[in-house]
Amino acid sequence: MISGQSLASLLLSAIVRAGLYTLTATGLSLIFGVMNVPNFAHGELYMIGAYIAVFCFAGLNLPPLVAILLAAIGGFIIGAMIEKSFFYPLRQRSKRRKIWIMNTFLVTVGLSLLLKNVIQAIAGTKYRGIDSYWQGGLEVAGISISVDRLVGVAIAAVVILAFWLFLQKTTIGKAIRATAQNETGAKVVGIDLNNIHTLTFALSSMLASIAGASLLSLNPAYPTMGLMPLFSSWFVVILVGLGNIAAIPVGALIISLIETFSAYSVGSGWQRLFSLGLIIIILLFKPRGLFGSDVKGVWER
Amino acid sequence: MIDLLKVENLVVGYYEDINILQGVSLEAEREDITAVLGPNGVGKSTLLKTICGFLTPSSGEITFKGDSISGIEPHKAISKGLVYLPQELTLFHRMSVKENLQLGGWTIRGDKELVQERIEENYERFPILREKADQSAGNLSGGQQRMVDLGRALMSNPEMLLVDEPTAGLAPNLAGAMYDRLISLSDEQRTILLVDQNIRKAIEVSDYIYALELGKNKTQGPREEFEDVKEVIKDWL
Repeated sequence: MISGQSLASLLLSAIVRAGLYTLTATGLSLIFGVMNVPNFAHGELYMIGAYIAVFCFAGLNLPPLVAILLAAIGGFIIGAMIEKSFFYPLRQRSKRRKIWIMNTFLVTVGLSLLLKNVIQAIAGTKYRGIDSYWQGGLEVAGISISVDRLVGVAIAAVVILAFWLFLQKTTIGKAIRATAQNETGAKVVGIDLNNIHTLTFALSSMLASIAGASLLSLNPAYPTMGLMPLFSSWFVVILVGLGNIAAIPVGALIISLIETFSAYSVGSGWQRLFSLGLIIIILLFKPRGLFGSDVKGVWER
Repeated sequence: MIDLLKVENLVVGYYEDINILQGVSLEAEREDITAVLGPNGVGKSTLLKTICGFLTPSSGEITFKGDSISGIEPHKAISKGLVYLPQELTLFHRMSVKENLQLGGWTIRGDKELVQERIEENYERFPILREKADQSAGNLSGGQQRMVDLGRALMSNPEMLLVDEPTAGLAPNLAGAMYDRLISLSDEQRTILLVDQNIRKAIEVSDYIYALELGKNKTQGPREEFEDVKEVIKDWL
């Protein structure tokens, strides 16, 4: 049996992990919803965020929040550059929509390899971690919680809330949602899709970078660190239905609870089996995802 | 009278060497309703899509207010005063009626008061939309969705509307209301280029008519010349 204390600390780990998955899965879902790109290079933006943060914090001795902010800005800029140099020219030359998803899938797989190797060439294969951004922790009822974890969860919550408000309330946010809902309609009202695509990719990359940067003390930076959050984010996105951004925090919590508890009770390395098993079962009975969203990629409606 | 829109020898196709339009020409006069008629597959919709930049012509010339707009990027057509209403509704289904209208004012988004003013104008035009302002556009009836679609198009205060099959899928009474709406828009000094399958009704509301046949101009003339509708339809069947 799990004791009350370890239960509480497991729950806490699950929540921290859920915050991370929410950040990465939101971008993944948005990129697919707006651009019809299944992004398998998303984990590398998470990795780049971690590297920027470790460089700024440990290398340049900048304050933690500044390091995380610079990682966010770096993720945004790199995301914009990737969109403009890979997907924009591809889109200009793709007339047949059917092969677009496969083409972009392959592009993202290639990008993922490229980014991993570029980083490896620059920074090597060593783990580059930090002990903590902030010293100390809290002791609540016998459970110790590091300040880093608390701040990590808080950053995820604040960023997701701000991003959600941006999508719901601002005209540009509405234009992004409009493009996901009806691409022709967006063109008809005069929205320049090229700008929307670049912005969407940049913002999504920024979210992934923030995730990588803010959990640096738990997950040190190394070139292939993006694979685990990439897969888990895809699990989340598939679980709640592609394009269903509002339900992502719930899906992220489900996946991270399963992963955390199965790793604890069966052994780490087995957690994938359980989350994948759940997804197979859900997709067998609810092919559109847990919440039956009718949202798909732009070109599939 | 100067023509607002002029199309000369337009050649367009989706694939190389297969041209849907093979040299179509037309002119639309200011404040007129100009109809483009013809059987299925002659390229009526292709013509509208090309004028507003959704397709790029392989040759030919399109001028609007004297400026060439051949191959214009779709999002730029609207700032020229040209708005396109595709046949299939292109509403943002999971956004409210009001948000749809707001996005119709994308090109004037810097001026929040103007956007609000135009939304009010639309509520005057379509009172039901005021009641449904906060509902998802996707939950409205077909007729109401057409109103949102038209209202959204009017947010930018366009000089010219390119309207593709505005009554497709509407019940007859709603279709009648839509035609009345088009007439009143032309009374508001707006120019309309109308593509329609409903030949009888389109001839009734139009000032000038073009008939296409297999990607080419077949015949054209003012409404009076087309009044013997039965003859026209029989000709095409």
